[in-house]
Amino acid sequence: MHHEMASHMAAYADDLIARGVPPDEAHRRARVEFGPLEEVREECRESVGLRWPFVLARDLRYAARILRKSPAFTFTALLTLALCIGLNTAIFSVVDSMLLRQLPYPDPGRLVAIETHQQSTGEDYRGFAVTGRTLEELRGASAFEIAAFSGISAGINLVNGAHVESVSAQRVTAGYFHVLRVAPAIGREFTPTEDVRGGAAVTVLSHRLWMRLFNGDRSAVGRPVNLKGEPYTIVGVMPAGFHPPDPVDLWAPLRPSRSGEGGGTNYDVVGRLRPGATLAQADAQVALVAVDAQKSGEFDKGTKIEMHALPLQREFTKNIRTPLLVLWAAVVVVLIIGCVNIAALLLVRGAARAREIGTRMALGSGKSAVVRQLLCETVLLAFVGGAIGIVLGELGLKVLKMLAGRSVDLTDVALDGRVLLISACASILTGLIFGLVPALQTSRVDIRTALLDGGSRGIAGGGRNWIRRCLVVTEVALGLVLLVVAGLLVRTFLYLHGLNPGFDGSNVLTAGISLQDARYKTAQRVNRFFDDTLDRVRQMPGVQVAGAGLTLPYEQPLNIGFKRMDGPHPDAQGAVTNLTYITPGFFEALHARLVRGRLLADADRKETEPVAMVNEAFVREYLRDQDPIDSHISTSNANRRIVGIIGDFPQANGYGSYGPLSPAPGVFVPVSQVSDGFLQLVHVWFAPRLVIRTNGRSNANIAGVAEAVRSADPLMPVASFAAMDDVISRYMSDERFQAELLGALAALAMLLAAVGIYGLIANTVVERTRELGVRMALGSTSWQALRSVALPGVILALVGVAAGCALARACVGFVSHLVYGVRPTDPSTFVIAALALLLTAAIASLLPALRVTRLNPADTLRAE
Amino acid sequence: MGKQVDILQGMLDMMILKAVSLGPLHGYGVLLRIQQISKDALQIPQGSLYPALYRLEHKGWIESTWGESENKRKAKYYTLTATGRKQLRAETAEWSKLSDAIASLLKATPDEV
Repeated sequence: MHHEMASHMAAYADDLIARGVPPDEAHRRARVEFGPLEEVREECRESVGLRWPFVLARDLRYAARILRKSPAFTFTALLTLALCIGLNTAIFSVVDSMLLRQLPYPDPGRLVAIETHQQSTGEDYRGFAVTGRTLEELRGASAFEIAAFSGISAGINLVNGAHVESVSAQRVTAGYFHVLRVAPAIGREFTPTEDVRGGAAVTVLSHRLWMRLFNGDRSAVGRPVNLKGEPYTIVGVMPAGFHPPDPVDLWAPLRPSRSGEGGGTNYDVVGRLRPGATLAQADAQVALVAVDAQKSGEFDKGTKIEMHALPLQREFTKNIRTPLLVLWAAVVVVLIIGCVNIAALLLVRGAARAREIGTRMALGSGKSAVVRQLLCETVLLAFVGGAIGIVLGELGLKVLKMLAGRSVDLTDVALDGRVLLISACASILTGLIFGLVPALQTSRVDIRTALLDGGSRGIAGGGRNWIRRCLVVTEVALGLVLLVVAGLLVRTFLYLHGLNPGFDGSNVLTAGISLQDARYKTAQRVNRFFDDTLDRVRQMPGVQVAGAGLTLPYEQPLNIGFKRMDGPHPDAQGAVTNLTYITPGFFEALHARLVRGRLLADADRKETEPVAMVNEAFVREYLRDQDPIDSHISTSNANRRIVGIIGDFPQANGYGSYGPLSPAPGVFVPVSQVSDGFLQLVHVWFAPRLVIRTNGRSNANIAGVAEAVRSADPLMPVASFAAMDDVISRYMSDERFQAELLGALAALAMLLAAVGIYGLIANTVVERTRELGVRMALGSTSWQALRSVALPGVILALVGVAAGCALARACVGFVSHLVYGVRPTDPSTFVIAALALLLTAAIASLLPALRVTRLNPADTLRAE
Repeated sequence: MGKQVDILQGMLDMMILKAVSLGPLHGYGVLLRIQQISKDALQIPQGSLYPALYRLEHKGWIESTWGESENKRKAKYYTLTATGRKQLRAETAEWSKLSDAIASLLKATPDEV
């Protein structure tokens, strides 16, 4: 284009020269008569429709300049956008991936789990396990094919030649892998003949274990490997990509029956809907099985049984469903607050720019041009804010992964693209709507009024402000709800953390072993092992005291029935209590508190009188009306005399409504006084622990203990070592994570609300500069002016807090499942949250108002 | 130079098409030719020329090629396309009809009403 026009002008100039005009004059006339080059070019472009990229570029450059000129607004808007989009997405991504993580099986949508709901007086229990009898009934259902597995995947002893290792094993029925539609890569899975009592001892290995033991040798199939002290034949190896949600090293047949293990709800069930069947049909058939179970007499009279078929996904997310949904709601609230902030910011800005817009329109800019230019500003803000947001989001995700630590597996979580898009769209939409409002408004406005009015430098227009005030109140109210919920979760965690452990866990080392072993079928053998090992351990130089027990404090112990044999209320029908066996030295190593009586001692042997200890909670619950010492209870196959009372410690409970951790009633029996059958059963479910109080140097002690165990039994591996303190904190890691996350979100909400208030008050100051100047010239003091400016902010916050309290009151019902140790409607949480928010609001109102004190009345009156 | 008449855009399009139909021209050449044929009665403001040329090219009625002008400068030469020729014929017919109508209006005498 340039060449063409240049040669045109040159040609015209030449003509002029030919007519006698001097060359300089000729060129000048040619240029002048042609007209302004740039305009002509613009018109050419416009006529071809090619103008828009230039227009866009120009608008964007102007937008960038405008935004740079008001750094406070730009910074606040960008920060709000970035926080909304980025951090929100990070948390959304965590929640999303955990709740919706796909099960790693083909066609997982057709897999179902069976949930049982047991209700009796005082007890409400939901679980995913069934009895052996119910399992048989379920096999008859036509809507789905079924398999069962042991819900408890205990560590067992594996011996392969010289290689001794503790591995995690899961027991499954024949057909389990078929239901999952994952076939072994080599060999086969179990047959029904192997899956009954007395059937062949066979096992299927995981890929990792097969590589570790046999280095990928395919001839391993058919060879024996020593498990639990007995030879098992390897019949299959699973493929390398098979990763069940909980890691498993090998599988063995479950051998379900109606007695023993099958007499209680110990079998987990997985089913696959047959082609053409629906979940509703499965649910109906399962309900019929529930009716039958209720009539079977396996459960206590008066217990109501209900059963449902649910998608298998639900079983694996059962513990995290509620907390994650709460998190999700919190994130949505923060997003709303953020959008409210953006809206308020833009409204304020729009009002402030009425003058500028009026000027531009007076100078000839059309309405569409103004709208387009404002749109550019908003879009530019949105993009930059979004980009910063993504960076913040990645950062936030790293922090979250660090916070989660070992309690939650977050390794494959990445910023979810969908969620990023949703957050971005929400923010951008808000920006567009509220950014355009002033443009659409002022383009209707009488330009003359806008110019003369001097924008809004006069007395603050009350009517126009009410939208912004509503927005601030909304923000504060939502912020309060989040603060209250976060406060409750924090208090829950603090409660659990602050529970008196009842013992001293520092410098206590625990070592887990598996006695689910053919060589330990008798009580005599078990006791000899404990005696031998503990003797050696006690002789180690760093060891002060040592003992052993079936389960540790804080862990979930065995539930078993018992009966009171004497006292004013001997029981015809027994109750359920926690029970564990221990050796002498267990309580001493833990420095547990002996309340009355004596501890169990070496003198308590098989030949002597059966005895037991109980804890204070047991006494409070069952032995209130009698002297506990020398009372008798019948439990674990013996009529036992209570010889001592031990102080309470928190326990995870598998029955009743005791919450995640609480001091529940417990009975402690000597391992020397339990039967063979009892030991065989409990060792299927629990791995006993050595409990050793040391002088603190853990590495040397660990090696020493491992050696002691090896000397007592060369074929017994130590399954795990853990410091007692670590065991304790593992039981609170979930609550800690939740408290931290929700606390972070609440802090974010508070920050955003503070920013909103700050913006409102700052803007009021600017608006009322002239008015305040007049007032101060007429005698008002700085402090009075300051108060009149800052007070509305505080009042708005008060209104917001009041509304928020009402809202929060309604909402706490949803989180009551997660709250322990404190009543959800406890007023102190509300009061503290309200005060925190009001304090923040007061600071956010005062800071901008302080500018008023620096006002020089003479200056403000002059500046017009 | 005779009296200059301000020209509407539609007529400008027609004039350019006509000028180009008589042989390929560059922009300045179109200006000169129109002046020449109308015997200086019609003067096109130089700034309006190029936007009109670009518009006509965009509509496909003329096409351009780069060439060398008389004074050895690079210039774009415009020629009429087939569609352009059709358009010129149509517009000429329209213009004739219009000018006939106006002529007969102006010739009307009181007793013909």
